[in-house]
Amino acid sequence: MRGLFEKDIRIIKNQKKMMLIFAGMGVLLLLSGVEISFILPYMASVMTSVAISTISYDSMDNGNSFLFTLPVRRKDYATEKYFFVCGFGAVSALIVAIACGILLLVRKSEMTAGAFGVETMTCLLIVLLLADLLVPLQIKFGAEKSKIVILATVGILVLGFEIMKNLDQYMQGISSWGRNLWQIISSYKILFGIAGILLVALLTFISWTISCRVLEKQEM
Amino acid sequence: MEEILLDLKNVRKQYANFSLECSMQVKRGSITGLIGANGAGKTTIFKASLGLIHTDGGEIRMMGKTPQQLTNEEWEKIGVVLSDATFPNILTAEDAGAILKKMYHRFDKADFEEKCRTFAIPMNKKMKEMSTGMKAKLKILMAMSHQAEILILDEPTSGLDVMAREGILDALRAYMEQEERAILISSHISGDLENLCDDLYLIDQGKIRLHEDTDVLLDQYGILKVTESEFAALDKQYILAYCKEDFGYRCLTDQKQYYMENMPQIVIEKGTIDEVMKTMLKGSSRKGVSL
Repeated sequence: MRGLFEKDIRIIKNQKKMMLIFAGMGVLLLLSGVEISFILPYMASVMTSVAISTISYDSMDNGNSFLFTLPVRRKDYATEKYFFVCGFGAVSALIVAIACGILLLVRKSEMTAGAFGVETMTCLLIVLLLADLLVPLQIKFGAEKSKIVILATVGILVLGFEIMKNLDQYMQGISSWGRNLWQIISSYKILFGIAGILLVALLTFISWTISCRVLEKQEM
Repeated sequence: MEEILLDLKNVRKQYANFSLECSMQVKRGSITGLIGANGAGKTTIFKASLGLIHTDGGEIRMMGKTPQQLTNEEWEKIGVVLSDATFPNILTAEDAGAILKKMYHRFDKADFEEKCRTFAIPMNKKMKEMSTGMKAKLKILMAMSHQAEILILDEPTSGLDVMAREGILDALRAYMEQEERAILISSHISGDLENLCDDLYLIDQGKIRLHEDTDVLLDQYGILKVTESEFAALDKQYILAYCKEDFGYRCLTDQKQYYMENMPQIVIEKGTIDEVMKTMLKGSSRKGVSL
């Protein structure tokens, strides 16, 4: 798998222009006063998509045929992709979070450290969920066919993040059952938090299993 | 050590408009050539041998195991060139060297870089910016730089000029100086295979039509060019295939000497790979045809 990581790092390294554009975009967003609660998940999603694009590069011009003649098993390829995509997305998210954190301090924002921490953690979960959804899609259908799904997913996740941010207001506003449900969740935050993490872990395992099965069946 | 490094037994693969059914072997210490027209099934054989496609029947053994059973360490003993596939074209030769160093324990980066210099491959040029010849040379060097026991080369010299081809063929001959190695190579350029291979398989429409040692093919095979009357009178027991021509018939034999001694009046030409292929593929084979 070391060779696969090396390959993916070098694929991204060779896209310097695009990375500079994304970095510039991030800086502009930060300086333009856009809410940090938008910038964090947006930039994390964009960078995760960049990492996922290595799957398209691999399959371009029958590249997968060559890749699987190297000492690379299909399961190893799938496993490496998840580690790489999640790792790259997480590192990017943390870098953006640090930049946002510095900006919040400079602007003397009212956001508490705890709230900022929750936003960062949610962002990392978004990275994982993006990988869980998009890695098997790209492996199965390729970049072109899965483009619409990717765009829709990024949009839904960013919107979802906005809703999550104001969840307590929405839940209170829906109906009495919503208020009751929200009271229960608020009382057992840690428990639901752990359940959420376990659910994401399960989703990741299911996604990985699907990716492995798709790859095993694929003819190169 | 296994004597037979690659063994295909009655391997079948069915596509909508094409079916493959073949048996072949690549032995340790030999260079085996696979020749056939476009669409004959060469690449299908290569892909089946490497586990890139599923087969519909038969058995494939690479170093005694099926491709799916091979461990990563055993895969390191296989070097591959595919005619239309390599690393992502956004990568450079230098990137390829760094990646292969992490994939193969026996990859010699210094030797790889030295060979790239010898074959004038720029280390920092993206593969999408390289010429066809540069990419072809790079693919071969990547396959040869990790001490593989068996090289599987699908059209490796495609796109190379004469001098570059000769350089690559020399490199392959030098590669085989270690006797425990083997090469399976396909090519359209019959001259390359004639000078390089120990034995040849001729494939047509998914079936092996001929398997022969190269020395025997070049020495004992011949093309008889006969008129209609000569063909009628011809002793056909050693005729493998024949086809109608303007002058009469072109016949392929594996016993050129017999006809030279017994029918000295007929025109007999040397059996080159091209001539053998042309006659076998264009003509009717003797098997099953009443002569």
